[in-house]
Formats: sequence, structure tokens, C-alpha cells
Amino acid sequence: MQVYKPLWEYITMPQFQTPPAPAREVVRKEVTSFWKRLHPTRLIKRDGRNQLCAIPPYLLNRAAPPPNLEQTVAALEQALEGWRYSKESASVVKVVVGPPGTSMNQIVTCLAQQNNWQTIGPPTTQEILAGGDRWLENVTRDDITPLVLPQLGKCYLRHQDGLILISRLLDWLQTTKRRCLLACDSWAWAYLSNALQIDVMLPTPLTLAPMDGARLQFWLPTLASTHRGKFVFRDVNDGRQLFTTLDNYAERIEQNAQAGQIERYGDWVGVNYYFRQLAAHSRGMPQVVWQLWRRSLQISHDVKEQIAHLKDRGSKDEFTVWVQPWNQLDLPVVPGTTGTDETMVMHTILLHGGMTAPLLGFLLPLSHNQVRRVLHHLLALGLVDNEADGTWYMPLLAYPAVRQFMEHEGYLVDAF
Amino acid sequence: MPTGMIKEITGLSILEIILIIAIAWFLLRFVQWFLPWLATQAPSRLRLHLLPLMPIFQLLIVVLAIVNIIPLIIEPTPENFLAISGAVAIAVGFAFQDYISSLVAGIVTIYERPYRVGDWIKIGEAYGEVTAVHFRAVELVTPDDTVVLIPHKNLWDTTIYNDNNGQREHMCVADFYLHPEHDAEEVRQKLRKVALTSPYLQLKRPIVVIVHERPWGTHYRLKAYPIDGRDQFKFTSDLTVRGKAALAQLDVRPAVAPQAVI
Repeated sequence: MQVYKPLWEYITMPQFQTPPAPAREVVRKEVTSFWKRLHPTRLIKRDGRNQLCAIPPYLLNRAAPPPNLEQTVAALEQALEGWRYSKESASVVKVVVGPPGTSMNQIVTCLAQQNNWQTIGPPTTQEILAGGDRWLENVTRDDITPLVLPQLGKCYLRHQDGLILISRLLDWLQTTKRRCLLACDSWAWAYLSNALQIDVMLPTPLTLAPMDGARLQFWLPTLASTHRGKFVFRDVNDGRQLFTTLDNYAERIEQNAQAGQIERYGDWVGVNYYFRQLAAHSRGMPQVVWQLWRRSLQISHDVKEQIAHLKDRGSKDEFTVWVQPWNQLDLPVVPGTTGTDETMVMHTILLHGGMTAPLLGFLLPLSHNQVRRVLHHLLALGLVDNEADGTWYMPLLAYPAVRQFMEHEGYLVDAF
Repeated sequence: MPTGMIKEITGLSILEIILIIAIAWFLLRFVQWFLPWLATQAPSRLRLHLLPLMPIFQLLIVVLAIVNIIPLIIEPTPENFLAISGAVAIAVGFAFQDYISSLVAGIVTIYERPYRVGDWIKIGEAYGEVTAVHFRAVELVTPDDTVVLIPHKNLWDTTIYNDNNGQREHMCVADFYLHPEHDAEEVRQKLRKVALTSPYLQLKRPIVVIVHERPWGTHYRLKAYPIDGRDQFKFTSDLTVRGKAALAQLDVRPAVAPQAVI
């Protein structure tokens, strides 16, 4: 029997399994990863399809617009249904953990807004280092509505004075009767599990089920669903259409949308090798997939005129977008010669979900000049990026390579 | 000595011998360059597997070169071989007793592995990282960046201390000497946090704080493992610097050195 399953669902953290890579892909990845480490500046050889060019931004935003969070919020609401009405005191605290790019803080904030729950943002750096009396006072106030802490990973610093606040918060969470919903970044969770045994003190977290090949095959075309019928995605190597066409697919999507249900997918449909590869490389992280997907899209030179045409009259014609396999893309790699200073900076950024340069200088045994030098070196390699407010973060396109490097180097990594 | 033992040396055989020596020399240089280079490019966990292969390859190259050269000089009969090797052994044994002893010990190190490239060892007064294991001697680089060559023959009669024994991590210790009047539990917890928050720390290994009460004060030993043993001095310095800052916050006074020490 062909059963459709929810595209977005929450599972417990131990149930999470990174999508497995096809065996051929494992060998290829190991060999190319080693080769790239030897020749970090060498660009991937292209297949000579020089007739392809980058897709213009306005078209890209129609073919692969940013995914909205509605579905993931709805799925979380469903997963928390039992918790909201449970009378068991043992389950007043619920934790949701997500790897970088999952936007778990936005998801729980959104859910809190929908339900009028109290949301408290993370403490400031000064508050964390001072023990956070005032912030904790605010948090521990009694109320009948659930409390939401959307950024638990921002409540600590890897500093001898940076664990006091979170330790006190954990002590309170173990005794409180108030319903609390916590969202935490997976790297912070890994560190706090190691340093403070947070995984033992709090209940088993929920997490978003991995975006495996079958899910991807259904999800990616729905991103362009506003203009469905206009885009045809073809593999750049063999020209074949990437997505399986199902007779009742459009109808089903429409029905789901009408009913306000979570999109569903059929795991019985044969999964294209491309999607299995992509799911494994992105470790099942939807945002990584989305970024890789956008990077993969190209158009043919000779259809540039068609674009103008399409733009002008809002044509309903099919428009072919070529998809370059992610392994032929020029993605950031971590050179084999990366030293301890660079690795420490990247690891600290990951553990804290982004950080400013002065704070990095404060936490690490490096001078401000050294931190600046390291950051600019990593920026040139595409391994970090910075926001307007001066926060340095890990770009999602670099994330799979950096995580693999950290794991190989023996650093603490997350469970995803 | 049997007649006809030594072959007639012709221009061609000399050329062959020179060629074999040249190839062997080139291969030795290549191995000496390639394996350390490969170790820097490969993931760090492979470094300690790649570098110890160097002496094995070197030995193999030399043995192959000798095996190829001998038949070019002497007639390869069992009698000739025994006679020549006996004579060479006696002559060389007297002249280069220590040298030969070191060479033999060098071969033993390949099998017994008392030290490998990448290990942190102490032999006599010298402490440092093993950077190369040659035929005759082991090469260390001390923390002061001094290269020390120690003949392998020390293996026979000297105690060798190996800190990491082929492992990537090895334990580091930061010492703190405090005035006895303080809350020992608070200090112990604080020092544990100091280690826990060091970016060099290998979080998968345990952190231990050992406390000894002495006549002049309290001695704390903070023991932990860095992710990479090569960072041991940076790690110990980081623990010491941040440990001192943390203890200053607790208003704990340092121990005063006893008069006998002054």
C-alpha cells in the first residue's frame, strides 16, 4: 500500500540518523576530499558545458525561494500537543535541538507568538559573565503560561565564568512546575552535554527528522510551487528531468494546502541518485540542501532572451533550469594545513552559533590581531562569513566540510 | 679466502653499483621528504600512523641496495658469502663497535617501538618530540627548538619515558601552589571549569584535579588532555594563565615558599 508520510516531523534525538551516502559516493567523497586537501586552491574541472551561465537572482528567487517555516512550526505544534495538555510534572520541560541552519529559535518563537506564550531572549555577554541574576529573576518568575527560551545555546560562554548562569538555569529547570520549551543549537547541546551533563538533566530532546533523499525529491519542487509548470529541472550531465512526475501530485499539494496540513511525501517512490547524494552530503539539513540547490541551478546562454520574454508577459511556458551536481560545484574546503588557531576559531564559532571578533579574542588565548588575521584567512577560504553587526558565523555551504574536518581532527562535534 | 671470490670489476659493474647507490640515495631522500609532507597534508589522526613508516621504508631500501650490490662484487656462492660476511663482521665490529650497536638497536626499535615519530619522549636529560628515527640515532626537537640526536644504543641500558606512546593526546599538568587557608572544594571546582573551558581541551578525556596538603601550603595539580599533543605547552600555559585569573577572583593567596627553599 502506498502511504504518504509527513514531509516535516519531529523525532527524538536518538532516532535521528544522518542520511547514508550511496557506497559509490562514500569512496568518491573520501578520495576527492583527500585530493582537495592536497590542492585546496585547485578548482573543480567543469564538464565543458560553457553554454551554461549563472541564473539571475530574480529567477533564482522564483525557482528556489527561501523555504518558509510554517510547515515546521505546524509540525512542532503537532509534536507538542501531548506536552501542552499533559498533567505529568516530570514532563514540564521540553527541549528541541537542531543543527545550524535549522532556525529552531525562529520556529519556537513563531509557535510561542501563535499561542501567546512568554518568550525570553538570551542574556547579554556581560550578564552571562556576571552570573545573570536579573535575567534569571525574569526567567524564574511564576506564571501559568508556558515559558519559551528560544536560544539556550546563547546562555553560556566557554569561559570559566561563562557556565555559572546556565548551571543555575538548569537547577531551576529541574525543579520548576512551569511548562518550559527550550530550543538549543546542536553544537551548544553537545558541549553542554559534555561539560554539564545537560542531556542527563533535561528530557530527551526532539529534533526535526532528517531531509533524506525521498523527502528532498518531494520538497525541492514544492519550493517553486508558486510558479509550478514554469520550471523544469534537468540534470546538467544527461539532460534528464530530476523530479518524478506523479499524476496526482499537484492535486495532493493543493488539497494539503487547503486543509492546512503538513505536506506529505511518498517514500515508496524510487529516489534519484542525485538526491541520495545531496541528502548525505548535507547531513539531512534542509537549509544546507537549499543553499546547495540554489548554487546548483544554472541556465542556458541561449535562453537569456527567453528570460526577458518570460519576465515581460508572465508566460506560463516551461522554463528549463539546469542542475549541476553538488559535487561539481566549487564549494569551500578546509585545507590540510589548517592550524590549531584556525580550528579553534571555527570550533568556538560553531559552539556558540556565531560570535564577534572581540569576544573571540576574549575567549581564546589569541590576541585581537591574531583573531583578526585568522578570521580574514578563513573568510578568504569561504569558511566563515560576517554579518553587518560584526558577528562571524559559519556559512552553511562550508558547514559539511568544516564538520567533517572537526570530526577528523578529534574535536567535539554535534550529534547530527 | 677461496680463489675467484671477488668478481672482475669492470667499468660496467662500477656504473651499475653507482647507479644502485644513486637510486637508493634518491629513494631515501624521497621517503624522508614524502612521508612528513604527507603527514602534514593528511588528517592529524593519520599523522602518527604515517610517520613511523619512515624507518621501515629506509631499512627496506638499504637492504635492497645491498642485496643488489653484493652479487656485482663477489661470486654469490654460500662459501664466499660466509667468508666475506665473517671478515667484514670482525673488522667492522672492532672498528665501529658503538656504531654497529646503534644500528642494531635501530633495527630493534622498528619492531619494539619504544618510540615513534610524533611521540614525546625523555631520554636522559633530553625531552622533546621525535621528529625522525634514523638508522643510528633518534632525532628530537625540544620545546626550546633545539635538535637533539640520541644514539639508539641507549635503548640497551637507559630508561626511556614515552608520554603518548603512539597516541595523539597525552596528559598535561598545570601546578598551582596556594596558601592553605581557602575553600579547597571551591578551588577544585573552579580549576575543573578552567580546564573545561580551555579551547585546547580534548573533551572526550577526563579532567582530574589532585590536591596535596604540604607544610607550606596546598598543591593543586590540574590534569587534562589537549586535543593534539603538539599543543601541550600552549595548553599548559592556557590552564596556568586562566587558572591564576580564576583563583585571583576567589581571593586565594599563593603559597609562600618555605625558608629552606629561599
